[in-house]
Amino acid sequence: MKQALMYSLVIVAVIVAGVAGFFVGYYYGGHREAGMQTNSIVVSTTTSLYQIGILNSFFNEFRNLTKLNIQFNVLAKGSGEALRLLSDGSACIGFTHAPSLELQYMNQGKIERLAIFGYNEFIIVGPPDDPANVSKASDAVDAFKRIYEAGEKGLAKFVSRGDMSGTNVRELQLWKLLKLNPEGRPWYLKSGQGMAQTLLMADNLKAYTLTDVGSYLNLKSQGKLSNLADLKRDFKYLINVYAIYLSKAPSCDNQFTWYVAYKLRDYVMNQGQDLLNNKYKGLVNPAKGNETMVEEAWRSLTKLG
Amino acid sequence: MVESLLSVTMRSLYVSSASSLIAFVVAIALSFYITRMGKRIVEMVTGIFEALVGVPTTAIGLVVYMLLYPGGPLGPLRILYTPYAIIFGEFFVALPVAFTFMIRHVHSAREYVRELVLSLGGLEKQVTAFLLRELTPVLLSSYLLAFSRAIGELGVALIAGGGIEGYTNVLTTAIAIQTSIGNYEYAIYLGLILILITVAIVLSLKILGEYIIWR
Repeated sequence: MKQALMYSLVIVAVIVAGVAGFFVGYYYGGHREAGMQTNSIVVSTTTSLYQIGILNSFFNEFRNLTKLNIQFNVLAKGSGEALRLLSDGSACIGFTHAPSLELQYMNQGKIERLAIFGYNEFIIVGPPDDPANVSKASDAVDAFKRIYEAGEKGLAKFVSRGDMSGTNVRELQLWKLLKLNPEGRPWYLKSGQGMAQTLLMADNLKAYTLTDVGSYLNLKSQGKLSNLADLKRDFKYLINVYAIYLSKAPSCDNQFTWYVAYKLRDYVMNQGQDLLNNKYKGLVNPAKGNETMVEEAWRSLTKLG
Repeated sequence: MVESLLSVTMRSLYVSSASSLIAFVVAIALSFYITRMGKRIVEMVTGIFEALVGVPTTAIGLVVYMLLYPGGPLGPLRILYTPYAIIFGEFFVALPVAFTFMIRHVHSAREYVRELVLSLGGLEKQVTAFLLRELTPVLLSSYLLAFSRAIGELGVALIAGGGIEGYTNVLTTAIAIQTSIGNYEYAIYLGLILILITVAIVLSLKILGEYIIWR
């Protein structure tokens, strides 16, 4: 009798839990369903913009200004994957910073550039005692050469993103300029993760890495990086340019997507520039006022490797 | 600027219970149907599903993406990066687990239940009903297993669901994404919730297991 009671109790509990979980979850997870199908747009972005919080600020202000009730579904990936999603048409709008990859996709007619909206720079960070003497290097290329030599001597380690993100693409271009290949060396570690994760990894290993200045300062201000210092800046080789792209895939070829994309571009190039200037100066700088400089930088970066 | 723990947890429960429920129903139908066909076929089908249990969820996620992306065969459905995509993908994650757990018991129980029913003057068509009643604890265990596998998998949820905040973010993707942007504290809370859920499932399995032995 007791067993039968226990037995039925367990069965009832499981069924109730399953059904309740389903319905409550449906209510919570599905309450946006109604508006989703009609006016949502998938946006792929580089992790850095997502992490710093710029994208959310953009979208909130955009909705406030235009009074459009649009849901932006944000996929935070590396630039390489973000661009791939654009060319597939899985995402329609993309925020990326990998000029050489962007040009490849543009030449294939898969994506269209809407605007270059901001820039900051990559910096080489590493342990404060700087075993590779990176801070004494004449430029970024020389700094990488020093890291390579120190690595070969067993004095330094380097953590690479290894995920074809904008940062990773730039790093590979620098190795290429040096005609050195760190691939497979014991001191050269690939994280395959986002920028924040890679910085934390470099911090734990007391290693060097290349990072965009925004992600670095963002984590530094949260007190999460104790073994990393900003060692080398080089505006010529390490300028980092952020641009917005629109996918040309058939799935994005509709009035609504185009309308939103061009509206978004107009916003980002006007009020969005002021937002960057007021709120994110130093993390990501507005392109406004330096249009020719960023355009030139973008062009030269596509030729870099 | 992150989602509340509650809404992520709820979405996780919804998505994984939906997919495991569907997988569960399909597994019951399939196992009851297959066991009527003789030992050979049972062995073969079971072998196939046992092999599928070991397929990494990231591989399933990639296949689901290739099916659902706009240029893929199921592209016109337009469900990539929606909760339905995760439900669709996790169905394939949960099904082999539920099926392989079930089939052995259904196969071994069918013969003696059939003999019992027929010798007591029952009809052939009553066998299935009795079998269902006999195997309830096994079936529930297999549902719970399927559920815990679905709620704990990351591959499908990340590749086909995308972890979109407020829409397709489930516990595992939230942990992965928040960790990758350095938000460890939040990720730890999510991890604790996930552990609690799976522990609760294991406990229910233990209780159910005693009844299976008692049978």
